[in-house]
Amino acid sequence: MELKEQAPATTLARKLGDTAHVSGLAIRLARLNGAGDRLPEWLLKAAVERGAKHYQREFDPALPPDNPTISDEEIGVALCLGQMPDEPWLIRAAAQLLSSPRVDPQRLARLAEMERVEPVLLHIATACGQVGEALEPWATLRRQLHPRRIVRTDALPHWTRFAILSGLTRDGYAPPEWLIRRE
Amino acid sequence: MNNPLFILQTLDRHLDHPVELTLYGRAALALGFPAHEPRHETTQDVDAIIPLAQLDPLRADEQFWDARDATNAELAERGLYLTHLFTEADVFLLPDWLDRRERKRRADRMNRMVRMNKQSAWPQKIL
Repeated sequence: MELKEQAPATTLARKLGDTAHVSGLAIRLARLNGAGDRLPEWLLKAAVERGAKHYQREFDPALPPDNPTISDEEIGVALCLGQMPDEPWLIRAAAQLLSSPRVDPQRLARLAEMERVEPVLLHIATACGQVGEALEPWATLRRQLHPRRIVRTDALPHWTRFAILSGLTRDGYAPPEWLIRRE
Repeated sequence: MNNPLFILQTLDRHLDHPVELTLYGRAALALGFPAHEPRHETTQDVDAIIPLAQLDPLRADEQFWDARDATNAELAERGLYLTHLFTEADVFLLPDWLDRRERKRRADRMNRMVRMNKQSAWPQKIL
């Protein structure tokens, strides 16, 4: 039997044709909650527990519990970091978590620039606009964030992945419904 | 106001030990080259390159990250920050880039410049 070296897991940054910085946010979150190398899994669990219920699943009970000192904005941005694995549900969970009036759009915009996730959050914000929603924080992000060139925006989830598409029902055609956070 | 200098002075105040940072981009131009353009001083952030050999020690340096967080919190109202730290593997560099870095000469020149401009001193804990 021929053994082949296993390909390293692709990061989101690599998929987008971008570079990933050494994120102080990721280092601090991994330290604060004790998740260490399991930070992506911990972030997804925290997002689901905080209201991104569409992505509910069985999580390893050994994962550390949520930490209320970490803000929703930090969880959402960390899920979109370039160093994260290229797993679309991390971005989709971030979108649902951040679709909440409890999220501060200004704080989110600053954190997005600091952590270089503007392309991902602008992609979500544009998707939200496509669904016809004037929902915050996305409307503010569309106005405030400056686009940064990345090679492959098509690598990000299609806008329909952030919404529920009921389509034709007995009452007629149901418009797409943006997945907001369940408070 | 020279934004990169102000950012590094703020970080310097929060650090309790020396830290080596290799600056690049507009902040490096603003701080290392007296003939820089005025717009280089208005950059909102300071970018730095971390040599791979220094990555693990820096990751483990909790006081550096605490100082960085305190710096960003203090600078939030001005819209300034220091977060874009890249490893040498993530930027285009010459093979001998480590040997080509300007250190003391630039710092000395900068010290003369900040004295001439009557600004506060060059950060002492950032090498």
